[in-house]
Amino acid sequence: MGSGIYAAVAGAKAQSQYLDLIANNLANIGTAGFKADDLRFGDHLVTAGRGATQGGVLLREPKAMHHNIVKRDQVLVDIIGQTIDFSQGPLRKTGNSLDIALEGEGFFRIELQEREFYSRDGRFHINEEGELMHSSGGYVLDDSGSMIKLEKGLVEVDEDGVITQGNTEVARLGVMDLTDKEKITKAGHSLFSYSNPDELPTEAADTAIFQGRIETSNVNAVREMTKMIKTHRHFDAMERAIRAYRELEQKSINDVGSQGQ
Amino acid sequence: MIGALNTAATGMEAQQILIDIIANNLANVNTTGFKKSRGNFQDLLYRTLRAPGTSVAAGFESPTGLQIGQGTRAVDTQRIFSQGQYKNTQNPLDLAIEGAGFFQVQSPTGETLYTRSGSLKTDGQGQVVTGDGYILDPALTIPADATAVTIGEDGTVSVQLAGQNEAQEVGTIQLATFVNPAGLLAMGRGYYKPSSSSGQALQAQPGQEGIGTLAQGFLETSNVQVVEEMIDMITGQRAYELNSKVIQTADKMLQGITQLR
Repeated sequence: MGSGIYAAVAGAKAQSQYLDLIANNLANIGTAGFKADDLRFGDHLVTAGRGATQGGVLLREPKAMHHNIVKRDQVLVDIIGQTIDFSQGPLRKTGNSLDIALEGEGFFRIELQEREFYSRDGRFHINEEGELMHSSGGYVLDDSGSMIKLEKGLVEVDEDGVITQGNTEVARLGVMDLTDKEKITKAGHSLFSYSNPDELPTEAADTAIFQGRIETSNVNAVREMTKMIKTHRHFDAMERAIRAYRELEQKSINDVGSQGQ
Repeated sequence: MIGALNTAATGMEAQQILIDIIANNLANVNTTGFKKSRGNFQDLLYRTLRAPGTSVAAGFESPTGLQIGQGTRAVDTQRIFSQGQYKNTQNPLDLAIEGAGFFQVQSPTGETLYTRSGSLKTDGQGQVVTGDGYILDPALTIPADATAVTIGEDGTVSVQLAGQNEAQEVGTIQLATFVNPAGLLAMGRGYYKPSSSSGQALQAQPGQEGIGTLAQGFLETSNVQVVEEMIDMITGQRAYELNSKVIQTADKMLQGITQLR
């Protein structure tokens, strides 16, 4: 049995998961504040019958030589990690006073079901109590972590996130810096969750706030299409390899067997 | 693989909803007092295949997890209550609201509805009604022998009666505002109904803070911007195509697998 067939199967599986991810990016090309995902691939070395390694770190355990059988190492391709592309999405002017866009590294603070989340989606609205709400149904928090209550009338937001109504300062939008980007996970509903026990989120220093604009999705259609074509081709190649192994097996069963007779 | 198919389908569905919304906006480009809608989209929940920080080999932790999204969904259609433009009609009973207020009217079934369309008329009894015959609330009657009607910025209605020198005041037009107008229920034909999300109507005389003033002889045109809608339509159509390409790719890959045997 050719053990290489498993490498081909692992490759095909990884490519099919990659397509799932590309599909999600393209489905969210119209989602405000959406950040594209990407995958990193790597070798996954399985040392003859022993444990595996990860992330390009090849750990060779002593081989079982006493059996006097030569076992071959096997390299499987696998997904070693996921990255979220936090690059700036293009800002789009809407003229709506409750559409607020961020330019820079910061995130809005959102409270949903007594948990704090972060978001780049600034399509806010107010509820019947006059509280500022996020599109997920959570509350938008100010810089001290409390809800923002607005009065009737015009709302003005300046570049530092200070909300004024009439001549009164109502609150200042909480915009936080999540330093360790690898600790950010997506929670759906345009929300990110962040859990880093070492460092709590701090106020973002250089993030500009724009009223009347929304940050559109940063999914790049050209890049995603190219990735999709590549994924398709890789998948095809893996499929051919599986086919080749199958033919090889068939030959060895039929032909080698018939020679013996 | 099946994941990509479903994900791309959510993307196509979202773009279809977007095109439906654009079509309605464009169809109402000449509707007096029409307020455009906007489709808001969000990413769906994520399937976590591997949580960040999971141990992948003795002493090795995966720095990032593997989360694959399930696509997108339409969260809401948000009505944008930005001011439309004013069209001069010279008609004394054409009123435009400069501000956030709404006219309050009584429907034939006795329901209180709200509208921005100020194309008012008088019925057989001289009562001021909307184009659909809905009675303005509080009711206002223009005497049959009135030669001129003057409506002030503050809603005061005065008439000039035949054979009299002095103008006579016959009533005032009141306006209503809502804490969250985006939460109003659209009833069609330009009428809105309060919902739990919009809050209760607050009636006041025009000219008071935040409610707006009246402009006689003007109509408020639709706030639909044709160029903006066209651009949205183009991007919507292309995004739809991109998602259909994902389906085609996933289909071809599936086809390859089924032909393996």
